[in-house]
Formats: sequence, structure tokens, C-alpha cells
Amino acid sequence: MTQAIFYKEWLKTRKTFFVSLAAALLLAAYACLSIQRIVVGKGVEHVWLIMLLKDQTFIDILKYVPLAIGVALGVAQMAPEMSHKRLKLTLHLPYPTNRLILWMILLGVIELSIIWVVTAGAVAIYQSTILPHELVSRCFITSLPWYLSGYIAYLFTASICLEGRWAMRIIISLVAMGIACVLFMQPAPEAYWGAMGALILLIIILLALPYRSVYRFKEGLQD
Amino acid sequence: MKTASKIVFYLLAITVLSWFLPWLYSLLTPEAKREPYMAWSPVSNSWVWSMIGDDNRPEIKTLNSANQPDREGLSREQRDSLLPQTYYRDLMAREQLPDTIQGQEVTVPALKHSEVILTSSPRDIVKVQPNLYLIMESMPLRADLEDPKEAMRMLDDGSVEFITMATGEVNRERSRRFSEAFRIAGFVPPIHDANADITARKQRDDGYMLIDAEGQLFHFKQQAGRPYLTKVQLPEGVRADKAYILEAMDPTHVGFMVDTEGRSYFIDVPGYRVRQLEIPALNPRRQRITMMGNLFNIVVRAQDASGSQWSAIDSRSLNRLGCYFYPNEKSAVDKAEAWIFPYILTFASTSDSLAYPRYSHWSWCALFLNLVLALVLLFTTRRSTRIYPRGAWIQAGITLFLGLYSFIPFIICRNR
Repeated sequence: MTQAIFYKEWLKTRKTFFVSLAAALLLAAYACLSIQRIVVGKGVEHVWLIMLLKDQTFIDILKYVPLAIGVALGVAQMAPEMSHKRLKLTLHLPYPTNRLILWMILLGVIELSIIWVVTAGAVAIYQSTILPHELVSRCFITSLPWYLSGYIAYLFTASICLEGRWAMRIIISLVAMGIACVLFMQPAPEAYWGAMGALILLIIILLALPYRSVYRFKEGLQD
Repeated sequence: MKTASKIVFYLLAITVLSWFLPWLYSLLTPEAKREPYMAWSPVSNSWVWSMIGDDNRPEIKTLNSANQPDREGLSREQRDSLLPQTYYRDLMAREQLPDTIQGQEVTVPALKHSEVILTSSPRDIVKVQPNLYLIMESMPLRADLEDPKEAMRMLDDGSVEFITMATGEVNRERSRRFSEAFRIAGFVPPIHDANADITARKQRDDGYMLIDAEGQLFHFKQQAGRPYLTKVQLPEGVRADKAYILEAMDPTHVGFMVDTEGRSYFIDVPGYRVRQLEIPALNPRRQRITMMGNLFNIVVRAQDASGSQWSAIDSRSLNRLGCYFYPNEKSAVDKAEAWIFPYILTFASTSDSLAYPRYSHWSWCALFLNLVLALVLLFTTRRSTRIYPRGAWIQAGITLFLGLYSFIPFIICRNR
């Protein structure tokens, strides 16, 4: 049954997954090319100087990509459940509801993680050819909250899609925007490093949100 | 799980509102905060106080011995005469630059040569810095300075590695030579603080002021590819906390240092003499510091949320000439805020480059509004259900402490 659930979710999300992966890789390549342009034009020393003296990371173009991918994957996976009330059928499967939702969310989280690892890995591999490990890790740590924002966007989107009432959807959307804003407030490199534990805890807590929407759906709170 | 998910939702909503509502409030109630510009006059031996008034015209006054502005204002010409160290160009144009002040000959080259400027912001200090230090050549073969070609990293054992930026390779010979210099100087890793001005657009390079793990101060630079590392002998019991390289035209003051107690010192050459300044305690990690020195005096401004502390000291003796504190008084908008919000949650600050949750301004005044909101919650619940359910009591109890932050989600999400 677990395999069947995973397969069902994979069928819904595979197109979005591959498109998101391709988009993220293209933008990562663009970020690397923009660094390479400076290397060719002014020398690699210039990249070092700007990174160390101006607190730049050259990967700002990737900033909102995880957020957008999180939303896209959440919509692709959860919106079909709500069209024609298919969620009702899903919840009537002979499988515990809590575990069913967990597997659904887990597949989304795994797909997002694959996209993040591939994207961040591609950037890190390129950077490590011209930069010392201190600057490569600096770029990676700077981008970590952006990737975490992808998980947050995904979980909120799942919760919004599974919610049965429009008023509550709007309220959850507003809370989601507020939480997402927090992750983009401080542009300084490695600014969120000290808060990384709290952010991971936040994502674990956020896993409860889609459950709330499903419970409300089961209680008949629908428009 | 059902209850847990409900609690999570309300917690998130309260957290977002705790940040968003005060932010919105400050956005809707912008204020222009004015502050005087202070300078110490070597002519009158008093503060000269300048501030843009409500009519956008400058108010210029001298302060009396009790630090109160004199009644009569000054014209710009009078101010220029009182502050020849700042307005010498205007005085020269009017042929009014005096020959001597306080027995010192006043010439334009002497005034320019004695200028010392330092600015320090907590945002540039309180941030995560990589273990990489760009190293300039202080004695280049050609006359002009060049951008650094190498960077230095300090390893856990106290040795250093010089990395050639163009290739990413470690320069073994230079690394060995500099590691030896650090070992002989008694530098204890890791680097606690490092300050340098890395740019080729300056007259000379004095390298870095370095502070080691034990609060020892070092002057470090690269000269003709060789290390120049000198330990500065600090007074007994003094631990350096933050140091700056000055690179002023007059090379006497090579550095400025603040110790762990907030006492500040000039590091003067020759001999790396440590001379304490008679000014109130400084905290570079919390205060924005500006120092402007000239032939006669040095004025230091330390600015934080409470206000601006101005101190003037004599350029030669470093003895105190005067102090002035301009408080950052709370406006009506700030006072009203305390009655609306029980606390304020922020994630970023203007005084550092880090992001983490910070609670501030717990306000007991907001309890009045909180009580009203809690009663509104109870009253509206009773109207719809005719009884007070347990949930209503819990929501009212939470609202008594969290006020608007919990009232809004509780009232909006009711029956949804």
C-alpha cells in the first residue's frame, strides 16, 4: 500500500519535479556563468575581493527559486486532491489517515531535497574549482535559508490546497507570507547560521499544518 | 494530532503578528529624528552645537560650562571662526585663518596632516566572517599600492597559510615564513579580531591590527614579501577587544583600540606606546562610533539606541576637554506603541548583520488593552453560545498576555 501511495503521488508530481529540477539547474548554471564572466574579465582575484570586502555571494539569482519550486510542487501534488473532492476517496483508502498524509508529504519533501542537493551541489562543485573552501561554504550557508524556505512554501501550499474553506485558505496564505518574509530579511552572508536549528525545528512543526487542513476537511468544514 | 496542529497554527499566526504589527505601525508612523552635530572649538574652548531646526534652517550655538546652549545663536561666519580646524578653506577664502591658535602655528598643510577619521558600525563587526584575510604588500616595488594577490588563513595550530588567489594554491615558502613569525610573536589562535583597510586607493598600507584569543594586540603587515608582526605591550590587566588600523596622514597614531572594559587607547609609534583616552566607555559591538581628530582636539561620538555621547579630548595630552550626551527621547509615537503592543518581535536589526528572533520592549502598559481584548473575546463567545466554554477562557487568558497578537487570530478564525 505504501508503494502504491508513493506511486500515486509520483504520478502527480513527476512533471513538476523534472521541470523544477531543470529550471533550478539552469539558474544555477547562470549564477556560475556570471562568476565565470568576472573571472575571465577581471581575474579570479576580483571575485575573492568582492566576496570578502563587499559581502557578495554571486548566487542571488537563486534566492527565490526554492520558494517558487516549493509552491509549484505543493500545488501539483495537492490541488488534484481537492478537484472533484478526490481527497474524500484518498481518505477512504484502507490505510491510516495520519500515515497516508505523512507519506504524501514525505514524497514532496524528498523530491524537494533532491532538487536542492543537485542545485547546491552544482554551484559548490563549480565554486570549489576557483574558490577556497571557506568561501564555498560561505555561499552554501548563505543559501541554506533559501532552501529551507522551499520546504516552508511546500508545507504551507499543501495546507492551503487541502483546506476546504476559502476564508481559512486566505488566512493561512497570510501567515505563510509572514513566515517566508522572515527568511529573506537579512541579506548578509551566513546571517541565519545561528538560527538554523530554530528554522529546522520550525519546518518539523510545520508538518502539522497539512494535517489540520485534512482534519477540518473530514469534519466537513468546506465551502 | 488534531489539537497539536491547531496549536501550531495559532502559534505561527501569533509569531507572524508579533513581528508584522509593530513593523506596520512603524511604517505608518514615520518620524524624522534630528540630532545635533557637535564640534569642539579650540578658540572658545567650548562645544559648538549645530542642528537643523523645524524651519529647516541651521541653529548654531555654543554650549556653556553646564552644557546648556547659549541663548544667542551664531552666524555661519562666526561658527567658521570658532572651528578653524573644520572650516579652514572658507576662512582662507575670506583671509581670516588665524596664524596661531593655542600657541600652535596654523597652516593648511598642518591642519590636513593632523586629520584623523575613524568610523565603526556594529553591523560591520557583529557578523559571521570567514577565516580569510586579504594581505596587501605594504612596500610595493612601484610607488602605488596594488590590490592584494594573496589571502591568509589561520589554522587551528596557529600556523598560517598564504593562498595565491589567482591559482588557489598555497604559497608554501611564505606560509612557513609567516607561521614562524606568528609563533615567535606568541600569537594564540584563533584570531579574535582583525581590522585593515583593504584598498589600493590610499597613501600607504599599515596592514592589520590583530587581536588573538587571549586579548593580546599585534600589528601585522607584509613588507617586501616578509612578515612584520609586532606585539603591542598592553598595560597590566588590559585585554583588547576591538582594534582599528587608522592609516591617517600623520603616522603617529597607528591604531585605536577598545579593551574588554570599554576603555579606549591610541597605539602610537614609534615604540607602540599605548595611551588611554579620557572618554566614557565605548562598546563597538553595540555603538556606532565616529572619531574626528585634528590639530587641536579629537571628538568621539558613540551612538546607540539611548542617544549620542560626544567626547572631546586634547590631541596631544589626550585629556578630556568636554562631554555631551544627547538623549534619544521617546516620541509620542513610541509612547503610544507601548500601550498597544505588549512586546515586539524582530528578526533583523540595524545594529548587527545576524538574523534570529529577538524579543524586546515588554510593556506593562499594554495590559490595559490586553484586558479589554480578553473581555471582548469572552463576551462575544457568550453571546453566541450563552455559556463560557473552556476554550474561551483559555483564549482570553492567552490574550491577557499577548494582546492583539493572539486576539486577531482567535477572533478571525472563530467559526471558520
